Amino acid sequence: MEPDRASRLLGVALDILVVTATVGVAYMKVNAHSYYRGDVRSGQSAAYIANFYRSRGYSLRGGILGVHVNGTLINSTGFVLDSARATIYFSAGGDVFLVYSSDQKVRDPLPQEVDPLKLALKVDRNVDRLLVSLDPLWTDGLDDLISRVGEVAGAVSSGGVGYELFVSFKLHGGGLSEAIRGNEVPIYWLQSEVNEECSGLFLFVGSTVAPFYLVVENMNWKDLTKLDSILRAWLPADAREMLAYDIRVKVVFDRPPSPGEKSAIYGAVSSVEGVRYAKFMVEFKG
Amino acid sequence: MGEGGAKRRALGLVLDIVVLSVAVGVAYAAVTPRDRYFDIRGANMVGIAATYHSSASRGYAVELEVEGAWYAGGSFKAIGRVVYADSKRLVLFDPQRGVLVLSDEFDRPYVNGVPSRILMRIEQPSGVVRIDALVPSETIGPDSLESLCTILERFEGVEACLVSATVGVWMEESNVTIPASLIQDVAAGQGGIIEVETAGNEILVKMRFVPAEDSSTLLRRIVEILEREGVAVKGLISGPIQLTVLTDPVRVDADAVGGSLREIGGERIRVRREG
Repeated sequence: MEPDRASRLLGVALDILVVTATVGVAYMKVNAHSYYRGDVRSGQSAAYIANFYRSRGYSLRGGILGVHVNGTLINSTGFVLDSARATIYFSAGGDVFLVYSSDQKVRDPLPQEVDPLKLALKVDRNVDRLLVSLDPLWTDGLDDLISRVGEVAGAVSSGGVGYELFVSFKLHGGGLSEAIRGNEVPIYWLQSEVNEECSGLFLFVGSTVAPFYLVVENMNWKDLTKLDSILRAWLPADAREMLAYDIRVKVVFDRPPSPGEKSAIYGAVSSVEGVRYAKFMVEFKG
Repeated sequence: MGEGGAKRRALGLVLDIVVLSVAVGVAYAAVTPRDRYFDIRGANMVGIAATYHSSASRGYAVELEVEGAWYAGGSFKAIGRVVYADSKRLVLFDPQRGVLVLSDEFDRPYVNGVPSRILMRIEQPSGVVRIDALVPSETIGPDSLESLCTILERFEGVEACLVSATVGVWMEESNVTIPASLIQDVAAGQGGIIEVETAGNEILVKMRFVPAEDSSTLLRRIVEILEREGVAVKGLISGPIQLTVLTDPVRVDADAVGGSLREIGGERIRVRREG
C-alpha cells in the first residue's frame, strides 16, 4: 500500500507541476509583448524599445538620468511623448528633451539634447491620450495659431482632468521663403536658438528647388509665446504672415478621464472652430 | 544546570557581542563621511560620468588623477577637477595644463586624449569650487567674450573662467570658398569642446567650457580667414553666455565673485561646492 500511495502522490505532484508550467507559459506568451520594464543606457536601445511598444499601442513612462548639452544634470521622471528611428522625445517637468547617446551607431538628423546615463522605462497601460487635428490657418506671426490652440486647451480644461498639451505644425509663407532666400534671416542660427530656448524640435526644411518651410514638433504649448517672440525678432514684418498647416495637438492627461469626462471633453473640443477631428487613444500614432 | 551549559551561554553571549559590534561598526562606517577612491581602468566614459554625477549630486568634491594617451601621441598624467562629463566626454581642468577634453572617440577634433586609468577621489568639500552664471546675449558682443572674465582677474583664487555659448557667423554670401574642415581645424586648436557647423550663409560655433581667451581668439581667427578670402561677414550673433568660474576651494570669496558677475549682467548665479 505504501509504495502505491507514494506513486499516486508523485503523480498528483507531477500533474500540478505540468498544469502550473502550462498556465505559466501561456501567461508569458500572452503578456510577452504587452509589458516592458527595465533600464537602458543607450538612447538607441530606448528608441527601439519605444518604437516596438508604441507601434503596438502602448505608452511608456519612466525616469531619465542624463546630461544636457548645456552641462546640467537631468534627473526627472516623465513619459515618452514621441519616438523617431533612434531618438526619443521624453517629456519631463514641462520640457521635452530629444534623447540620444553620443556613441550610438544609428543617428537621426536631429539635435541632441540629453545624453542618457540611465533610462528607466515602463510600459504604462493605464493611459488615455487625445489627438486633435486642426485645419490649416493663416497666422500673423503665431498669434492666430496660439489663439486657436488656446481655445482647444480651454475645451480640454472643461473636462476637469489635469493635462499637458503639445503642438506639432508646419509654417510656410511666400514672404518667409523670400526672406530666407534673400539672406534676410540667419535661418540656421534661428533654428539653433529656438531649439535651445523652447521645448521639442524646430527645423528649417528647404532646398534650391523646393519651397522653404519650418517644422515644429512636440512643443509644449506654453513655449509657443516664446517661439513667437524669437520669430518676430528675426523675421522681417512682411514675412510674418504665414500659413500654419499639418497642425496636431497632443493632450496627455494626468489620469485616464472617466467616460463622462471623455464625452464632455470630446464635445467641447469638437465644437472649437477649425477642429478637423479629435480622437482618444492610448498612444499617439496619428 | 551543569558546567557545560554555563560555558555554552557564555560563548553565546560572546558571539552576540561580536555580531552586535560588527553590525554597529558597519552602520557607523556607512554613515560616516570619508574619503573614497574609485579606480576606473580603461576608457569607460559612462562609468566615469555616472560615478562623477552620482558623487557630485550628493555634494561630494571630486578630484581626478588621469593617466592616458594624447590624441597626438605620447602619454600623460593629469590631476584636476571635472568640469563636465557625459556618456562620451570628460572635460577636466588641470591647473597646470588647463582645460582637457578626454574621450574614447578619436574622430572628434576637440578631443585632447583618451584616458587609460582614472583614480577618482571623493571627499567632503572644503569650500566653494565652482560658480556658474548666465549672461544675456544683449550684455556683450560675441567678439568680446574675453572681457567677461577680465573683471574676475582681481580675485585671488580664481583659477579658470570658462565660456559656453553658441555663436553664429553670418556672412553676406554663401560660403563656397572656405572648406568646413579648415574652420574645424582652426577650432581644434582651442581648449574645451568646440563643434562647428557650416551651412548656407552661416557658420555656427558651439562652444562648451572653452577658456574665455580661446573663445575670442577663435572667433577673431575665423573672421580674419573669411575676410582674407573675400567672404564678407554680415555680423556675429550670440545666444546667452554661460560662465563657469573655477576657484581655489580655500581662498575664494564666493559672495564677492558672485557680486562681480552680477555687475556684468550675470543672472541665475549658482555657487557649488562639488567638483
